[in-house]
Amino acid sequence: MTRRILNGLAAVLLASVLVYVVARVPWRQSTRPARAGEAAPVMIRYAHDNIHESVRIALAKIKKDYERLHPGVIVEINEVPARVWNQWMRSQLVGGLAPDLMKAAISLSDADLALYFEPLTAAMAEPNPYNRGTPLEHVSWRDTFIDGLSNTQSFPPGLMEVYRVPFYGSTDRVFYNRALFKAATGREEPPATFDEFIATCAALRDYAEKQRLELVPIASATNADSAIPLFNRIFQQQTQRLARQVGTLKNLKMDQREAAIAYFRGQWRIDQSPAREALDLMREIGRNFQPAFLQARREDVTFLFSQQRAAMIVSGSWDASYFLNQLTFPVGVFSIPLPTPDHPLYGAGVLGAIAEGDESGTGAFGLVRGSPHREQTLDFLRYITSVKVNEEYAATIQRVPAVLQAGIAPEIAAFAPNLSGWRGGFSPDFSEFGGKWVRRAFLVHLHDLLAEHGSVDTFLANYTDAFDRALRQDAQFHLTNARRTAQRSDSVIVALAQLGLAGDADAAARGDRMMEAQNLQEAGAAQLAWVLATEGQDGR
Amino acid sequence: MALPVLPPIPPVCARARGCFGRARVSYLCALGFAAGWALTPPGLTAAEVEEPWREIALHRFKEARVAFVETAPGSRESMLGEAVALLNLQPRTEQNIRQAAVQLEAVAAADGRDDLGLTARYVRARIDQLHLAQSQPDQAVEQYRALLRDAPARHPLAAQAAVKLALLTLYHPTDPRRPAERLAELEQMTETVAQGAARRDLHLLLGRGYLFFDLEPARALFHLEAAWAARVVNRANRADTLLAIAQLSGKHGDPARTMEAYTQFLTENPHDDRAYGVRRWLAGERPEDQP
Repeated sequence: MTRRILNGLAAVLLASVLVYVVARVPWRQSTRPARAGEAAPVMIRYAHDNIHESVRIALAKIKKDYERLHPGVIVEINEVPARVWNQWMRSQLVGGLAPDLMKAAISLSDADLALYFEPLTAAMAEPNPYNRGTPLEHVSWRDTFIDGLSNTQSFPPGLMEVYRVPFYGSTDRVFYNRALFKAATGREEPPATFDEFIATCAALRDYAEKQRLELVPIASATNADSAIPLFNRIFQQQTQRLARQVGTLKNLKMDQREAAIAYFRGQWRIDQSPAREALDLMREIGRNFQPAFLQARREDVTFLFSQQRAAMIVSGSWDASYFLNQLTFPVGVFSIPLPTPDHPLYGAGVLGAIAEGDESGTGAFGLVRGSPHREQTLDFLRYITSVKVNEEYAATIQRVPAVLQAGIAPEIAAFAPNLSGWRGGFSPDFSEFGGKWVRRAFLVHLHDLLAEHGSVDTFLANYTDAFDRALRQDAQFHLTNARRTAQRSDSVIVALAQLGLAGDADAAARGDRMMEAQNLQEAGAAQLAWVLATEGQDGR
Repeated sequence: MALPVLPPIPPVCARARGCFGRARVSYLCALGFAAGWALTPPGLTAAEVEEPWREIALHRFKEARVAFVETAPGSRESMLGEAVALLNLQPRTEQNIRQAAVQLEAVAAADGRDDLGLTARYVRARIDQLHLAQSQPDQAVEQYRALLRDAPARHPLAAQAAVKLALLTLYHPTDPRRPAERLAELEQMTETVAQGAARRDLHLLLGRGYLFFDLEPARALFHLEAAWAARVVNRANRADTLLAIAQLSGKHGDPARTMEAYTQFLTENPHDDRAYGVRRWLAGERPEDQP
């Protein structure tokens, strides 16, 4: 009896193995080594952490179309949860197991990029063949991107090569509940001016009070996706004229190092115009945030807006797919209309709306060094960033295309970057220095600015000295970082020069680019050190 | 015939340094290197020699160091390459930096005027300027001056001694001279720098120096124009230089040059976030004296 049962089990097991083997045949045929005379299949592995249904659909179509266009090529898409992306990415890179094309997270240092990813500058100089028949047919691949890949993520200044290629852009926006707008103000359209925006907030508060609703005008978190960019934007607009007046490079912009130099020279103060007006504006807008917003995380405010307990939410194009599709009420999108130059209170320092061209490239990918199918992967990268494909991809995932001439789907037209605006002045949190001392000090004192019984004066009474101390710490942090960057690039520059002396023209050219950049970066750092040593006491 | 391989020189040098001082160590290392050079196996291909440099260009400092030592043990190029790798070998230590300095001195002591010797001298000066925990700017200045005296125009790193010297001079925290005096002194140096890239960078530095100290905008314009003529290579630096030239030209009565520079900027950077203002300015909408 027992033997019969065992024989039966063995037969079932044998049958299962047989079924499994038969089922594997088609898969093995697609991945088995090629026989003589038969082209080996090429598998491109592509990994990302943007696990949304729309992304899945968009990538499946790209995979299908590309494989049809290139018989014998298989695109394998690996999805990795965002929470573990950094650990996964690093372990794959270090272990030599990385896919051919992967998201090159911003946590990667210059050294990581140089070690694990291919520089794409040379390939970028040629037109993208997939743009044939479009107005970009003869344009270099690099210049087909909205910002020309000049942002520091795509083109790290310490490396002077293109390493990251964006597939879509991001812009900050406000989502609003159209029904609540209609109920409170009688109209669904977003406000067109700053005064209208403030009036809308007041109308929403009145409406909530009369209807006894738990409703706030604006939901906002304090993180880098929400209030901080909004506050930075306010400050950047208020300092547009100042930046042009005191910027020493005369290049119509002011980076954070120049802004710090101007501060230490006493050319602007945090408690005087135009910073003062910027703080007034922050309070005027921030008073409409939900109570205890300083503790709120992104999930909290998303919940608040989804529950219709906030009429607006400060966010951006990255949330479009969720807010436009998943909510049960109609949602609109607009950019908070900041004061124009003719505004009686807040117009003096303003030139106009801020251009958004430099925010156009996010979600950037890199070609992994040592990819067994480098040329095919590069081809796939060209394909996905061609006008037509990027347009379809962006439309499906409801993001802004990263490529010029790629049309924007009507439902996300409000996210299109404003390319006809003025350069912003400078932001007040100096986070690009890396130390984030100013940002921490700002957040510590922000309640003085936004609390009901707070005021700009109260905030400044406590923050002015703290800002001064924190900016000095950030400046020192930046100088230390600049020194480390120069130390790292020294070895590379010397190596490239030696290769150049041996006749490698490409290495010589890259070494020349790096040297030019290093010299100007060292000069900028020396200028900051100079003002810290000689004029540092005059800032306040 | 298998040639004997010399033991690694650097650790010996590093240990000896404490006993004999820098000069004697350099001498000993030079002797050691000379012996090593004579015994280096011939017939290395260019690719073999270049490969370790390519490792450094990829930030693979550990692999580069090993490759240099194994490819041509005891040779000058090996010593130079290992020293350059040591500067960024992780963990970065003061001992490694000092060991690199000793090796570089040995390479330069054998011949300080050939390509390897000039590179070694440049890197040695950079160590004093930048890599030591306590910078030695005055020593770096002396080395750059000496390098400039000997440097042929064709050597890209030796020529850069002028630029590094300018940086140290212009922003020296304890130099009693006023910035205008320092700038005047450095301007004389531009005539002696023949190598294109170094000349360009020196002009950029001087132009930006005049602007930073708010001195003589006309001189700033002169230097930026000279840098532009020497071909600024990085896209961002080209854009910044063109905009500065445009604005300074406008203030110095050369509207044609202003228009030309703004137009060139738009051609090269049609989607830059400063392009809108420049376009409006060129179209005649000029609420201010700048876009």
